[in-house]
Amino acid sequence: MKKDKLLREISLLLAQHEENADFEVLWDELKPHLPKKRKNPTLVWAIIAFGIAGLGLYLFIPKENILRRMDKSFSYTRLHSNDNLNIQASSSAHTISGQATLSLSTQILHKPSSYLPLDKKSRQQHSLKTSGNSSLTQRQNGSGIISHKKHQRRVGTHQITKKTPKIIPTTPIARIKKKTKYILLDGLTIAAQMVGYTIMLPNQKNPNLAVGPSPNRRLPHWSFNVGMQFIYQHYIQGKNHQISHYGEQLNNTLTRQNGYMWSSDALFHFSNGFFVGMGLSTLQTWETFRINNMISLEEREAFNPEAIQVQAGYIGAYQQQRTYLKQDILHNNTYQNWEITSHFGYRFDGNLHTEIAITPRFILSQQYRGFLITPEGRAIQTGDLFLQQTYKKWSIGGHLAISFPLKNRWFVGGILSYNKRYYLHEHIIRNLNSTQFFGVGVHVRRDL
Amino acid sequence: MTRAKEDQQLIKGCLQNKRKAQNELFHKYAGYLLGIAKRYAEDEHKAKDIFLCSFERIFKNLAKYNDRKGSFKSWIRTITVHEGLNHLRNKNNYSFAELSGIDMVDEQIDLIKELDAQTILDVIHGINEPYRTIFNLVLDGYKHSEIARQFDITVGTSRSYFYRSKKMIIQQLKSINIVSSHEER
Repeated sequence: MKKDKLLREISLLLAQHEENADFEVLWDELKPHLPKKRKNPTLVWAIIAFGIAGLGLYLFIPKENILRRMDKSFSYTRLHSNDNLNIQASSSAHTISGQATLSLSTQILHKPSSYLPLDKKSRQQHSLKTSGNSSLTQRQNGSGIISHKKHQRRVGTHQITKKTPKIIPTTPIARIKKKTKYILLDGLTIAAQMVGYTIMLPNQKNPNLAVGPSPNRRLPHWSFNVGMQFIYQHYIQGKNHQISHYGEQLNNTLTRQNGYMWSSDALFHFSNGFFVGMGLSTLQTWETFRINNMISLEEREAFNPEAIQVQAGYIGAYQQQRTYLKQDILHNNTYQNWEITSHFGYRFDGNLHTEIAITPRFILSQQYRGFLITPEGRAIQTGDLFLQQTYKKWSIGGHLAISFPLKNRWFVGGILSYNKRYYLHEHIIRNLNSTQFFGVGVHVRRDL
Repeated sequence: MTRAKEDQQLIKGCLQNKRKAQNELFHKYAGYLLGIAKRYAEDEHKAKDIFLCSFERIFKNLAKYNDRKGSFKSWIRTITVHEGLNHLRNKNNYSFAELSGIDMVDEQIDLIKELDAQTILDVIHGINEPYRTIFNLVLDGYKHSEIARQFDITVGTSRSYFYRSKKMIIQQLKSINIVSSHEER
């Protein structure tokens, strides 16, 4: 046997040799250093967006709804005999210049012992006698919070007869001070008070003394947008950034990318002018660029005479081969993107609605078809040469839009947008591209 | 399913960072890579280090693997060998002297006993550095020109060290009565 043959036998033997060890322990050591699976960012993003929208809806429910619910809540009161109610209404600066303290000793004819649902009919039975033993201390400067007009009022479930002074709480929160017993407000009422809604009593006639959102205040609402933009896109750096170990950086000597984008979005507008929203958009862009470069490709080939092929693998030697390739090719590509757009912005209301927003985008998919042509114009490869999908990538941008109001809460306007994006595509060489686009277009909006 | 397809499935799972796929890939090649790591390391502890670092590099660079350029097994072997060399380079400062008087006479080898991997590994471990590393590299398919580049030596020096290491191995095998030789002149 020749020495080389012995070596080959040793090589073959060692190639098939496997050591034994407690690999579970080694795996446990290795595990913390391995890349972890990331949670689906779309899902996280959607949860955050819907969470914000839900919170916004909860906090900014239109006033009318709150009052309707508060009215219901007042039908559940806990009343005891010989209740002494001390209702104190502090004045607010803009409606009342004075302060009044009203003490009422009430005698309740009906004596419920626990929570008692009261409908309209039963409420009428809960009349309070206030004329006999009620004492009224009044300190009043200016226009009254206590009026002696003949009318009926309800304080919660209590109906106060015509001789009872009118009590109009004008502070953000009407405080009901217990003396010996108390009225229980349910959780919703308290929550409404906490977020700043005043308990506004039903049948309150004087609009000047009414508290709560002013008629001009914007109410939270939804709106839907449909828009179309023409976009101009180009590579910011004018070259692709190589992230692969193959070859050198590529220089794109010519870049041009034009196209259009359709988008539809649902937005929720808060009463303070801010809005959040999500939508779907599709972009179609056409690109022409020229690669004029010298690239070097490093390849390993197993063609050493000592190489022995075993199964699918090679045992033996690899030969490093460096190939230099002169590239001078024009690329013509068509891109089709599907993207989820989110919006965080502010709208200035006036005769024209102006809105500014930050719009992060998540590229769901990008398909592109392309062909290569030589500088002389000869197509060298056509068809689905590059038909593939890129990696999913985020991008960030913003827009400025102006809307003109039409009839029935329809709006039409113009939009300017900007977007910066990074995306990766793989074809022979993996490129991380950095691009930006500018868009100009029109949109139609309907407020709900 | 062929080995290559099975590897492709596992690699796909690993690229999505699926723990199960990583675990399967690890257990599939752990024995093989630990064997390579042990050949380059001077002790068990170092071998474990080389082994773990290699796997870390494999998982982090999996996207760079191209099945058209070779099998997955050979790719991971290359990474492990590189990792072994890195460890050795960090620890040793090799000095390669020009060797003279190498007996290039061809020897006829007769196998007396069946060769087994563990014996071979013990024999390889019995020879000194840098002979052992050069012998291992040739065994792993490196050309002398590549070895020369790695250690910044001449191709001739690499060859000389390899011949001497080969002679040492045969001497060791002779001493444990696995081979016998006679010169062919």
